[in-house]
Amino acid sequence: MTRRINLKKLVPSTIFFILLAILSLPFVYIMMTSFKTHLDIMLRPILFTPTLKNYVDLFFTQTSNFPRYMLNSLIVALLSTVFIIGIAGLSAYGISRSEFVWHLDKILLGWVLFLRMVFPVAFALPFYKIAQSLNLLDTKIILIVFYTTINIPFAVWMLKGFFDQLPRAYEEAAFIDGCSIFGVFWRVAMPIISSGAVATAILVFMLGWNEFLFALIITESSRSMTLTVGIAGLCQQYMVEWGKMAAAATIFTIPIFVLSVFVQDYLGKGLTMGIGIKE
Amino acid sequence: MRELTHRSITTFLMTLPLVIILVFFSIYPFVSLIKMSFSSFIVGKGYEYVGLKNVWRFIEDQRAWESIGRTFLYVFVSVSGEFVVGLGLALLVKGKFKGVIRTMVIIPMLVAPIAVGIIWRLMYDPVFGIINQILAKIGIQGKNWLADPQIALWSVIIVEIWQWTPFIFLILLAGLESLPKECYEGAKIDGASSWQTFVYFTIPLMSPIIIVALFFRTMECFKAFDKIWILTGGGPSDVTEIISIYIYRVSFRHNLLGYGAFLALIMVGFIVIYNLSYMGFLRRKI
Repeated sequence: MTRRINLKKLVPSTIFFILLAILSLPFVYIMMTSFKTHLDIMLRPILFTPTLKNYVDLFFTQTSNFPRYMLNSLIVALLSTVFIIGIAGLSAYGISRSEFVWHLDKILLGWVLFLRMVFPVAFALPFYKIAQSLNLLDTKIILIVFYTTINIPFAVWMLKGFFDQLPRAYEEAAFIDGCSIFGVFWRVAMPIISSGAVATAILVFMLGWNEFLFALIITESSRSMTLTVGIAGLCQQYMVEWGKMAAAATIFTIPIFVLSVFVQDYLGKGLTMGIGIKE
Repeated sequence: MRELTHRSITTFLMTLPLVIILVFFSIYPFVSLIKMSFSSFIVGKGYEYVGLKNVWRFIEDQRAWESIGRTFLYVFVSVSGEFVVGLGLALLVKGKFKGVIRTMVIIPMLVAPIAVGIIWRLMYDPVFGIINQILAKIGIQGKNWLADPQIALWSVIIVEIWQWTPFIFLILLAGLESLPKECYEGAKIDGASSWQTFVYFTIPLMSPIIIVALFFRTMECFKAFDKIWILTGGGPSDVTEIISIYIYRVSFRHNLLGYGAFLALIMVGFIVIYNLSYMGFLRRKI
């Protein structure tokens, strides 16, 4: 009897831990590889002396554009996040608080959702053409504009969800004290939902930081090339340097890990834009 | 009353920046996409209206049809796999393993698609990849996972399932843990087996959440590009070339932006119809 109970408990746990290993070990593996020399990767001894050579090569070699790519990625992701939160914050509040004629708010939200559905490549093509006619190919400006546009839907939906949950009593009190609606938005509503707004900002930043397709189309030189395109370039060189690639993948992912710790509770909600998910 | 209208005008004005952005950066590009679809746009030469030429080209383009079929296969198998594993995992974890262990499950979802591509390319490597090493230890001859046309698509699908199972898991787990406990206790008292409870309670109660999870997963899965680009670049001999990769190649390798735009437009049309019908279904269910 006791044996049967143990078995009943043991089997699910074993399955779970095997799945857990499959899900989490690949990343550990790539991190370990990033500290190996080329020789160690090929000979694959179990014990190896960790080396920082791959990282040093990435960052401090004269010919390496890696720091430059990283800076580009940071600028593009950060600036688009600032624009998105500014614009989406204002409009999400507006949509949440006012009564529109002819269901204009529904149309607006519907269009915003439509943007999210569309293939990125379907927007990338006309943007490429626009960039070309405005002489903006290979610039960070067009990347920022593009990321702001494609990621704004996500922010609007999330922030609107937060504003909808906010009790109006606070705002009414502020109105009575003679606050303007901008004042209420800025001094009352935004501070109350600030943790949600920060989570939204982090998720939007992650979207920009990870974007690849549009950057691949638009960027050509280190002037605007982002980390994703730079790393993809490493993969396509004739001599594949696994150590360097593993180091690049690690460096690229670490900030995302750190940030995601802060937004963990919002991840499920964020990825479905708050539709149908209760807290 | 005057105060109120004043307020609603202000809130309306607050949405103006969004409206302006949408008009300039999404409606204009979309119109431009439609215009491009019916022209031949060649870099350096500009527009030339060609009428329905792209439509005929599409009808005769076997490679495009193949890649569309492949996209459906890719999405269907990936999402089904993610659902089965994610649901199983959520049932195993329900009410147990709090904290760090749960976070470990969602790691793949947090790794950028580009990095996922690199990780798996390294693991799939026929010579120094860990998968073939492990297989060799237990006496199985490993394969050239990404270069063998017969299995390359399946190798890519496994990566997709690996990355996005946590998403289904996370949402279903939240759903499972919010189900009313009384139902389960009642079922237990009435002597229902765990399989019966699962089929008659869990699945029906969970169906709205399952539908939402599958909806978002399918929508995002159609957009796949980054991972496959790093893993195989669409090769070997086009067996992993899904539609977004084909559109990229047509537009920027063969320099046929007009035709690329037409293919993109078709896919957008399809996605919109799919999503609208799904949302209609969703509204009835929830």
